[in-house]
Amino acid sequence: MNPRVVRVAGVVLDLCILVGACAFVGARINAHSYYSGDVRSCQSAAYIANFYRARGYSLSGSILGVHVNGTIIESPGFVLDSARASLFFSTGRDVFIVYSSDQKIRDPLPQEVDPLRLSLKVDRDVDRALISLDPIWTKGLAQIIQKVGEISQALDEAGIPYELYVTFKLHGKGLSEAISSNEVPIYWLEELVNAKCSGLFMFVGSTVAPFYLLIENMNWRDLDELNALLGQWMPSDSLEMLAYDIQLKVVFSAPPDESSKATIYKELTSISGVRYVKFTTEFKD
Amino acid sequence: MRAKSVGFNPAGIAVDALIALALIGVILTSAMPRERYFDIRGANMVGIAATYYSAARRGYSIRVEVEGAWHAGGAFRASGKVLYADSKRLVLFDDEKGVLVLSDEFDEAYVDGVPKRVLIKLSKASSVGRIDFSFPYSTLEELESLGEVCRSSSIPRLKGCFISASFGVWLYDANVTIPASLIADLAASFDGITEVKTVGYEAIVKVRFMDLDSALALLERLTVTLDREGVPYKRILVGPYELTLLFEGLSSEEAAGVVSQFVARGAERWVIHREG
Amino acid sequence: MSVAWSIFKILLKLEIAVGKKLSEIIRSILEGLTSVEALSRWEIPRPAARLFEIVDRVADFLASGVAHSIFLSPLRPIIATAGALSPMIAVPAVYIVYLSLALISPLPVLDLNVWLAAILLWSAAILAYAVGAALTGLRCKHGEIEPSAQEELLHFALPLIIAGALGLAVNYMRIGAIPLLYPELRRHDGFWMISYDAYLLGLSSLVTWMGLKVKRGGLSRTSCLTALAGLMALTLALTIPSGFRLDVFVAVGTLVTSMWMAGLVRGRQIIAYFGLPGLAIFVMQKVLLMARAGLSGDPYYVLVSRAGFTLYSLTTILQAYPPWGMTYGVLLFVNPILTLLGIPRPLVGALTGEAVVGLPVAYTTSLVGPIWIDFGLPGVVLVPLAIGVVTGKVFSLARMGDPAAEVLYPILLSASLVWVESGPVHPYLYSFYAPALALILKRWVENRSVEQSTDVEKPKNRREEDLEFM
Repeated sequence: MNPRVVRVAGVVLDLCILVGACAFVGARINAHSYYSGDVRSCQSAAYIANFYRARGYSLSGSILGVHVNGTIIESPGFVLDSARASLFFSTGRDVFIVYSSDQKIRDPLPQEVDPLRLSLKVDRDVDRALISLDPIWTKGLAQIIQKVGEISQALDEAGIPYELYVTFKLHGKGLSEAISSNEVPIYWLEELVNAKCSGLFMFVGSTVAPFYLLIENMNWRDLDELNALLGQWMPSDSLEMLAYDIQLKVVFSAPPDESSKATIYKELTSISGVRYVKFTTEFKD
Repeated sequence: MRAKSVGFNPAGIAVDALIALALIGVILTSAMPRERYFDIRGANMVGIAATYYSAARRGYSIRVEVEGAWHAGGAFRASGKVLYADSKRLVLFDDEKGVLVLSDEFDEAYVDGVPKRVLIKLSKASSVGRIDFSFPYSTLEELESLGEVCRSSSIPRLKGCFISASFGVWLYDANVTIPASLIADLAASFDGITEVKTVGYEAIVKVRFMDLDSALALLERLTVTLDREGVPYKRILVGPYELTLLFEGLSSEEAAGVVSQFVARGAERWVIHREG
Repeated sequence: MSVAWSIFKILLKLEIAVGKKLSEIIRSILEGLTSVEALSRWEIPRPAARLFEIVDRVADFLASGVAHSIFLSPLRPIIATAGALSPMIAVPAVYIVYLSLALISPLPVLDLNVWLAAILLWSAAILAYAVGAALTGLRCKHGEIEPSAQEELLHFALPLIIAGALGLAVNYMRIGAIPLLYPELRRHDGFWMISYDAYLLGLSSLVTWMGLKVKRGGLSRTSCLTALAGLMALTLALTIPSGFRLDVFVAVGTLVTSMWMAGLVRGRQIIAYFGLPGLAIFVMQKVLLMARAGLSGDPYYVLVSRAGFTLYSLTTILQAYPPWGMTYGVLLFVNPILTLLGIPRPLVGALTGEAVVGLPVAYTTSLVGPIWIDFGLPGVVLVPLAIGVVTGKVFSLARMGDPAAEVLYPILLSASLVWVESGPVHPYLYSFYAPALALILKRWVENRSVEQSTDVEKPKNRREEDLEFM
């Protein structure tokens, strides 16, 4: 064989190995920020979710699981929030509380979906908005619904499809008295609301010392239903409450461009009661 | 080996006969209609659930045969339809034994046994075998009237009527003196999954895939026990519930008739499962 | 000349030098052991010898039956030329047995048309493999490894087999348990894969060397077979605890194929003493594991269900994934690179298991399954064809006496046999196709150089002829 050809082939081989080695080292350095995998247990999934979310990465994926009512849930979605051993997994409209029925560590949250498989991967093509509101005095949830409605209209201006999830706490003297004097079957009301609405509805405290009602990661479209249920089961004089620690999580279907972001920011900050608006890849605690 | 010309050779005939026999055997065995199944050994609850749902999603009729061991000891065989399966439990309806809750863990009183072998048999779905209804929260009286509907002959070929619901016993006294374990033990004698918690002024009894008559009987026994113990209660709260009806096999028209009956009684959503 | 190639050659020389030293040490140890002589004088007990005689007679009878069979008459020339363990005979034969087991299994048939399509595609893939192997594997002249290369084989083998065996043993300590008894601990990580590959290479080289020693009179056949029995025992001891029957099959397959290539054992003996007992052991191992878990095992179902579930899984793959491919090489061949880089990649387990039961568990889906997901319909023919061509060429080079080919071929054949069931999804097995391709390329370049040097004389003659013609 022509010696020159052999020499050239040798140099090409060396160059390929060198380039490959550099690419390998570079990719290994950056690889830690990528994750994709399947887990069966929600405890493992929650651990992974907490790890990546704490570092600012969003996780999307899919779930195959069994709802407590026996229906099979199979849907793509994303991790909206994560707790110690459970996940808030959103398929868009719905938000499920997921934990494995056979795991030993349990969060004190109601199980909604028992996963047979959770696929999660770090999603870098994502942009979200976190909106914080000042506390609102509300009768039932009327004023909150009105405020969330204003925010929704402002988001509509940008023209990008989104989902909006609400988290807040409710406290009221009348509410506490109604619970401690057994005018409201509060624990059964928890079951009722969690069956009918997305996200989590939880009574924090005890009938001896009621603290507050927690509404967490509920799709804003369910607020009317929740309002109706509260109005039905709570005495009318206990519906005067203070809503506080109000956070709205906006998940866009596609990352908005800079001009859309500017529009959204301007519209939202012009609404009274909006404390701040922050664009972020992940809602960190 | 040297290539030889073909002639009368006993070894060659023997080999040809073996090949022909094997060929005929394979063709006959594969072409003949026979029972086909998945055979899952051991209490692989996740594998059982995944296999069941993967076949159910493809629209097949599924019948399950189980060999297992009772919680209390002794072996059993059961067969029937799967009501529910998740990573921990398999809930089966056997025509003779009723609802069986099988799990690889015995830490719950409602678990009847552990499966050792599960045969999952598939066939083409040809008629309606199951309808699930969702009802909003309700009262005990409405539930009792539903029970009468299930007992009446107005529903054709009904094999079973099962409820999954959260019941609240709303008591007058706080810091409930009746322990959750007592209610759980009362409920353990009924088929299905039961989870109980007592907190504040309430006792929450969550039942899943319990026969409707059994659920009503459980509530009655509960209220009788409370009365006997002198624990006054305001009322029984009936939360949103799912009603699962199993049939021998309904035509589409009959299924539509059943659906309209229950819609008239307040059902908000329904899912029809076509099974053989 | 390439720096990388030079480094590689230096490392290879170093390895062989270490092997030479090791062989001297082992020789001196063996010479000091009188029991080795006693071992070589050891005779098989009479009842066992009688049983072996009967089995041999039956095997000879059936082998002569194959030579006279009407059904097998079209294959007779190929069997006569290439042999039972050639890729164009062994792989289709194993496929036919496996498919028969799948057909008689009671696993459900979800859709008859898809089921028939699955069988057709699987058969087409195997046929493509066999055709590819026949195209390159049938045309060869028989040759022997040069005597000068004989001792190098031993020196090459020893460090690899010792390092590989140690690595496999140490791996069990790393895991901290026997994965066979604790299936949740089974895994093939980088450490395991490197040890296993080294062991396979060392095993194949060692057996090739032993075969040459027997042929050239340096070692008695009895001593050789005794040593091979010891090697077999070591191989089983190292691979059975891993919990993967695949590991046992490939290692034993490599050993047995090397023995066949070296002429130490015949095809009929392989079927009689390894094939059928191996199948029985395969079934009983599963039944015993079940018994250990307190369950009753059904040997018939155990025998047929694996093949049946593979066919069932293939039908679900064909229904779930598009016919023109989806991942285009990423799933099968780019996957190990992405694994090394730590970049998320589509997993065979996730994609196959998802279609089968919705869980990310790697079910076997036949030779066709993973290829279908990667390349679709064209891949189902082209990928096995390519694998067959390479395997066949390595086979023909081995027949011609190329030492590297004789070492590689047993591993490639064992891998091909495993892939009938699972597809080419094992990076630690198809990585052997890289040196195989390099070997084929090297040979082609060498042949071209030889042709060019002979062509230099031809043009003179041709010109005279042309002139004459003109």
